[in-house]
Amino acid sequence: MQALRSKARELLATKTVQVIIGYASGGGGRARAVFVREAAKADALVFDDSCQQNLAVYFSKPEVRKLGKAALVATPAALRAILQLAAENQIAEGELLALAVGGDDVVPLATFAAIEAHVAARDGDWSAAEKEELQKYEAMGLEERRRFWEEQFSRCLKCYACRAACPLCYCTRCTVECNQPQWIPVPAHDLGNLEWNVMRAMHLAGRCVDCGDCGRACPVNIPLHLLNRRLIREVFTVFGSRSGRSAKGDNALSTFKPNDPEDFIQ
Amino acid sequence: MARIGVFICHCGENISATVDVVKVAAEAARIPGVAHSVEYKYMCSDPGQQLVKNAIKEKNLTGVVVAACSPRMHEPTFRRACAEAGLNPFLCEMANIREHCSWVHEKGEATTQKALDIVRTLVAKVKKNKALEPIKVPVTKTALVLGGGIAGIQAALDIANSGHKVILVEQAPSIGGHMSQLSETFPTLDCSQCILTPRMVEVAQHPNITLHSYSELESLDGFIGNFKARIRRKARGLDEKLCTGCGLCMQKCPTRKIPSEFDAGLGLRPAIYVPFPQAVPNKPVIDREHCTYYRTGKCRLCEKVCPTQAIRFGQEDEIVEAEVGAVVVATGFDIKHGDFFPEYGYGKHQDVIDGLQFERLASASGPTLGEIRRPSDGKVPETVVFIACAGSRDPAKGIEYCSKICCMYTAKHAMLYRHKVHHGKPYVFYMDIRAGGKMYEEFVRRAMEEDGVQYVRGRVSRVYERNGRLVVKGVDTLLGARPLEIEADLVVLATAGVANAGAEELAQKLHVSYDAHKFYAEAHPKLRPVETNTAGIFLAGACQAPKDIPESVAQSTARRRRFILPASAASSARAPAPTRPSRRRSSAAATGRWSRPWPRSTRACARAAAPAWPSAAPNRSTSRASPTRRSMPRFWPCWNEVNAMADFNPKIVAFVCNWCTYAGADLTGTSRMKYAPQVSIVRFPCTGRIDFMLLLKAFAGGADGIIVSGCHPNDCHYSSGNFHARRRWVVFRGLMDFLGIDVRRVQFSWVSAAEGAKWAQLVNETTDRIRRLGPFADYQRLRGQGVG
Amino acid sequence: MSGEKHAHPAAEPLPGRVLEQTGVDVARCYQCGKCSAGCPLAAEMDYPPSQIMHLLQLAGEFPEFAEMALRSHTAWLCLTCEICYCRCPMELDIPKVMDALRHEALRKKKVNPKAKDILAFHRAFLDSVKHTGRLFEMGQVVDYKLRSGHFLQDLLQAPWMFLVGKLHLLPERVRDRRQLKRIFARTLKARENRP
Repeated sequence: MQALRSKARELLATKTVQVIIGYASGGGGRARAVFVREAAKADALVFDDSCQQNLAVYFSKPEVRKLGKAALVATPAALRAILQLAAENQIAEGELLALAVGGDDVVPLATFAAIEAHVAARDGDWSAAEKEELQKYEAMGLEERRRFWEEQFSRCLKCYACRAACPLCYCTRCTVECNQPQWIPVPAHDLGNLEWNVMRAMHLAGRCVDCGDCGRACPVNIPLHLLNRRLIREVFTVFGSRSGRSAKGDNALSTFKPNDPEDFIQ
Repeated sequence: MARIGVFICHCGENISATVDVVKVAAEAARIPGVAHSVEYKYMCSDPGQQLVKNAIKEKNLTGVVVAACSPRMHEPTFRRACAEAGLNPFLCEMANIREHCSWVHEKGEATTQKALDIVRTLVAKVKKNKALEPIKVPVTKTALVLGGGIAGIQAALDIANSGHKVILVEQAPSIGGHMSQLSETFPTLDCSQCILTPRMVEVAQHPNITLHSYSELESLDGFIGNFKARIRRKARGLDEKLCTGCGLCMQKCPTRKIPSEFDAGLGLRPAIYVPFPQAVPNKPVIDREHCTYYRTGKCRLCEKVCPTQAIRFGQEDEIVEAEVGAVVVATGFDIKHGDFFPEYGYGKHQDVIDGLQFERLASASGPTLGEIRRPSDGKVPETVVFIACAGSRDPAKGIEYCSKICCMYTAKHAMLYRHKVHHGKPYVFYMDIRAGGKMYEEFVRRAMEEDGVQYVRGRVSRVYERNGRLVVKGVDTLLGARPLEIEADLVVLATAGVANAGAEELAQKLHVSYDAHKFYAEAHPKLRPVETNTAGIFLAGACQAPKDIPESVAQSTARRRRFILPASAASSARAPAPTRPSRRRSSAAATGRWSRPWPRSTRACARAAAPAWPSAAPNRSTSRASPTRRSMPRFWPCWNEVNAMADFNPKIVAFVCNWCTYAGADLTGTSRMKYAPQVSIVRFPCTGRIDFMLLLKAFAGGADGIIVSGCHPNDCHYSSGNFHARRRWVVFRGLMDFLGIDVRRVQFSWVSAAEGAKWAQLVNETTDRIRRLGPFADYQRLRGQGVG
Repeated sequence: MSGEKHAHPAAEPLPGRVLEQTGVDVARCYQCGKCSAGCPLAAEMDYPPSQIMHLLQLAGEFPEFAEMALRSHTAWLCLTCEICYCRCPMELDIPKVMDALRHEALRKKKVNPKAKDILAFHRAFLDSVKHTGRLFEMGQVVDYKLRSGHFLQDLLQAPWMFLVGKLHLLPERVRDRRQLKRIFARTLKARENRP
């Protein structure tokens, strides 16, 4: 943490960046986001196990962009989010300095290439527990799964916290905000909830960087991240592509190969 | 306030025989928003159209729905009528109650109700249509003609003679095509080259024609009026400006024993060669595959003897770019070669030859200088057997169609043989004689009556060799199927006419449709036989189907009219296919990247050679909101009424693409194949445009099953729409399955415009499967809860 | 749209039965004659195969043609060499049609008198198989001679055939002859039960 704070102080003092986006202590043992603009306030920055939120989400907000060049305290998921945003032309080289924190080390990553290398060196598969979790649902039969998700979505409030927390949901006007026509109904009822969650999962297919913030943000604890994980696995198994590993390139669903599988197509 | 006019057509009896059109008109009048509803025997006729125009004026209509045949048939007709009456043409829609209803279902209440449902759907849609204006686009007044056979030559000359520029691209070293290989043509027995070569020369000399011979189309982009073509001029190996065509190189070339393509393998040519003496351009080409220099690094004799030092061994292919307004495809056909009838011994016995080879024997410029001689020993054959239908009309061999020209050219061959060998005995084994053109029947009778050609009705089972002669084991069905054996010296097979080797690849470059035999598809077999579905690309000649010279020439001239009239305008009106960008898309679009998992094809729509696709496409307001959400609730209740007491009657929605599956479903109707009536078809420009949410909305609206179908991969009208759709479907299925939604309720398929039978089978199988799966109660239960 | 339907050949008695038993739709035959051209025995037949097909096409409307087809020698001469089937452009299984005609002719007792010997040989063959499980040439020959009455036919061949081991005096029998009996009984029963 000390290394982080001194690095922050240095960056602000030398005016290399105008704002550091990092974590501070929130109440109740939780961390919350903080925007440090003066070197003197750099001590507010913390980094521990409670720091899980993907801070890259702030970088899409125009209010944050207006503050100038930023440094971002980046978890591995945040780094992947930065690369994916770069691939989608939402961040240009040099607009952001990523500070990868590991243990007591702070590694500043100024270029996308550096971030790519950093991510690649630490890349791995899901943990055994994560794989098991997904398999548990797949082992349930179709009917059991249907009931499970029906029950889950019946609790959805349509608060859109999942959308707000996701760094890749950056559309200035989300499709649900268009009411001519109202494609997905606003009130929280089972059908609309299902449609909303299906749509969000599909719009993130091939793009989601698996940070899990959506599930964490959900106030009624719907395991949303499972939907995204299932699609991450589908995209990887079938098309061999993964999001968030390169600052260039197209998403799985905006490209194709002439010999993509089609055994289910008559 | 909507004031929609509904016009139900009887179409003679085509619709009224199975659909109660009077009832449909009466019921349609009760749909909210419908101000006028009538039925009439022939809506597309003048009085029929007048009904529409009068109603528009008298009742101040804001939209028109004509329930009749397929929009692919008469949408332009009715849109024009509306425009003339002062209603924006894009406020007119057609409800397809013929190809998709009356022709494919049995007479009865269910069929009538389905027709009414289809009308309801289109009324709901037209209420949401916006008035659109065509945009003016400047037109390039140059035509690209692909193929330098008789059809291509005729097209090029016609267009050039009316003052427009033409670029003619021919794959072979010389123009002329198969017609230049013929000796004489039926029914006049004109010398083929005598009537062809003057035109070939005219092409070469015409100031408006740029000829690229020994060239191929590399790529084609753009749309009607504004195509960009890239043409690959293959390296001949010489500087054409210096070459005088003296022919010394050909004389001196030491590699002389290469089978000549022009002589159909019966003659030989050197490695540097002009295919035939009257070739245009009369400049040789170096065959790099056989040339000694290219194989071993030695020789270069031609370079040494050339008086103008025109040889260029290192020459490379050149890409030429051109902007053209329209494309004429005249790439022709081939005849089937090869050993597909092992029992006839083609390829095994030298004296079993095909029709083109016989033409070369009969040609004065051929390998035998016009004498009919056996390839094996050069002797003049005393008995020649001609076998008709060698490959055509043969489902077992995969060619079920008739090749049209063989009866005539077989008669011609037999006559030529007799003219040259006065004591010769020609026999023709045939199944039927197809001689339907002007003077054709007389021609065949002349062969039989004056030239003594013996016709035997029956097919040949086998040809084998015995003592140096060929024994032909046939049958005479007119004598009670009596077997008949003839000892012949020469056997000529009239082999099937087939598409050229590169036809499929070229079609994909041009985005034109083709059938199972790789012949190119016309826009409509009866009414638009020379256009393709891609605006600005026309067909001429045998690339469309086997045909004879008079027909090819007639088609080429028709092509000229089709091209010239639009090209005469300074600009062309492009029917709009608007993409309504939303602010959310603009962030990605502005930066030039399309990061959404939605198809690029929506951009490609504007770019690709797409004709009028006005309201239904990227304009979200139309195809999305209706008929799915808005009209769905209205859609199903009538089914419930009809089927209340019946067993579970599944409701199935089919989302199909306009270019392939919708057309395929039209073909099912045209062929009168019947299928289950529970499916209702929704038309999209491309599968790439089908949002996954539509599927969920369909289920929410009461569908028990869904079919999603479009063009086969590589055949997408917008190049890549179906590729993107395919990926999206993989992901969507995974998600649905994970959520506990049975993916068997959605059937994805590729059905092309030629697969009418497949569409019927698909619908029937899917309906069956959904019936067995039962109603989709779980999903529809969700609908009932809360505001929908 | 659907006007008066012309009687489809396959919908009537004999052609309908042929379709049912063989799956061959005789309406598809376009009388090209290639089957007759290739048939090794066409010259010996009263109605070569393409004519049989045409007789079947009309058999629905003209019962006399059905008679001619059933009573023909053709079905009995057919070797089932399948050259016709191999060469037919419409891929019609003509040998199967011939088999169906043989069964129909037997059922209706309209076997061509010239086929007497063929039928005798066929029955002798089946008898041999039924009783021994093998083809016992000696037994079959005796059986055939008794049925056909050609007692002296080929008698001079017999000694030589014994010498080179082609004829045996005693039959070879399979072990489980009861199984054979069951197979025969079941087959005959199935044939009876066929509509």
